[in-house]
Amino acid sequence: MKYIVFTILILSVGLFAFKGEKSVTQYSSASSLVTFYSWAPMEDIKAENTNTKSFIRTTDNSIVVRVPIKSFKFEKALMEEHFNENYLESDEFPNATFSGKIIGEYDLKKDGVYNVKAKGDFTLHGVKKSKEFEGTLEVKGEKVTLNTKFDVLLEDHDIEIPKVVFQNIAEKIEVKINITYVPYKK
Amino acid sequence: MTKRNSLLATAIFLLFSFSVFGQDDLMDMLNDEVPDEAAEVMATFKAIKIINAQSIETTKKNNLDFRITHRFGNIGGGGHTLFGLDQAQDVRLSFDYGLTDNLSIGIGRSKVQEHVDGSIKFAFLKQKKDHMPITAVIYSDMAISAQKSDTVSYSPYYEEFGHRITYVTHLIVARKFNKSISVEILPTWVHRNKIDYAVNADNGAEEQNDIFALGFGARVKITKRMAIVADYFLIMSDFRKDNSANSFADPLAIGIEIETGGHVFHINLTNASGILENNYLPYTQDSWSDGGYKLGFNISRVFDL
Repeated sequence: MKYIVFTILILSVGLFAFKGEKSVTQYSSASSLVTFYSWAPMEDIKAENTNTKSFIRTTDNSIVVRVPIKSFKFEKALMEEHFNENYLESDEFPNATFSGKIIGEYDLKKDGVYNVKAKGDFTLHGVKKSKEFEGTLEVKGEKVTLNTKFDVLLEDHDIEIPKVVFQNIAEKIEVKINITYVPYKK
Repeated sequence: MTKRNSLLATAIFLLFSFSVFGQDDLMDMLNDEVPDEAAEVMATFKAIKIINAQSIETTKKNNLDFRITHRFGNIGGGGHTLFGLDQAQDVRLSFDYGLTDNLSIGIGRSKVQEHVDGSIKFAFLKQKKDHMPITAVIYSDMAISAQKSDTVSYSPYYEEFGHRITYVTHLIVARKFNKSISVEILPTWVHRNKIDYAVNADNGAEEQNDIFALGFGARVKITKRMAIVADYFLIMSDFRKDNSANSFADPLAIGIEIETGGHVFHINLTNASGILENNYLPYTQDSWSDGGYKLGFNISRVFDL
């Protein structure tokens, strides 16, 4: 009998430790804005996405981001259709993702702005590339805001633009990411 | 194993499984706990019409789709009409406008029967990956024939304004099976306010004001910008079946669809008599088997207003 009590004791201690630790080591996205710009001779194109989801786990500095391609909103409906059907083929590749580690000094429990890097796998249009991003983590109370800006080369991810519309779409797309995190509670 | 050992083993196992859970892949965790919202399937068809048949696509919000549709004469006409190219069996100009992304209205004018028509199209179900297998649309139009009433030959003879009006209603159900294959069916009801009395001498069936039909349409993409399209209507009318004195045919069309930026271009072959449903559903009499098919094209230009 005393072994059973002992076992339950150990288990509960383990459970509490696990629970207690988890509530302060994981952060989830509460709001997000991903914007991309394409500056081309004929036409400037801009699209916005507010459905991006992300987790940060401080125990192992890991970060994951998922950007649903169909949630990019364009000014023109036809552009949105071409973007999804012809260029990013979003029925086949519904999400762009990043999965990696945060590198640099930061403390999500202390207010401040931290310059960090993130290194890992960036997947777009089904093509995975190892990439390093520079950005900032701004901590204000419980809230953490991530900001980053980078370029994506279309040919890196096998995104083909037909010659006819070549003048309308830049080969290099600028992407801006802004995500606000809060401590994750399940 | 003693009781004591087994308990210890259980405890260790349980603790171990907790710690494993804690190291789960973060991406899997994100996908499990914050699932992807279901997105609507896009571009089941590329234009609001396949060839003769309406597709489930509606004109998107604030967009204006200007369409020029042309059907040459019968290819069976041979060299004397340059295989129909000398003739214009039907010409139609139309404008469709999107009130919302799921509701559009249209107006058009056709050469055959001098039809002036208005239509409304509403998508009430959208195919979503893993959530909704189909897209469903209701389409309805009303066409007024502006032809001069002929009191000598009585063809056409309109005693009153209402006689000029015909209606077509489709329920359209479509599914995009994968990125290249889309299929739809169109249960259809045609109502004509006025018909001329006629009997099929072969089976005794009378001509009816109401005709039901079942349409089928498909699009198969062969390259990123090109597709093969086809549509067919099975006309369910006893009067039209095996009518040796006045033969009718089911409209069938096959074509190639080419997309270039804001334009969608079709080249097609069809035996349909006219371009508007109100005409080709009840009045198609040319048959594929005796050269009764014609070359045609559609040009659609979408303007973002």
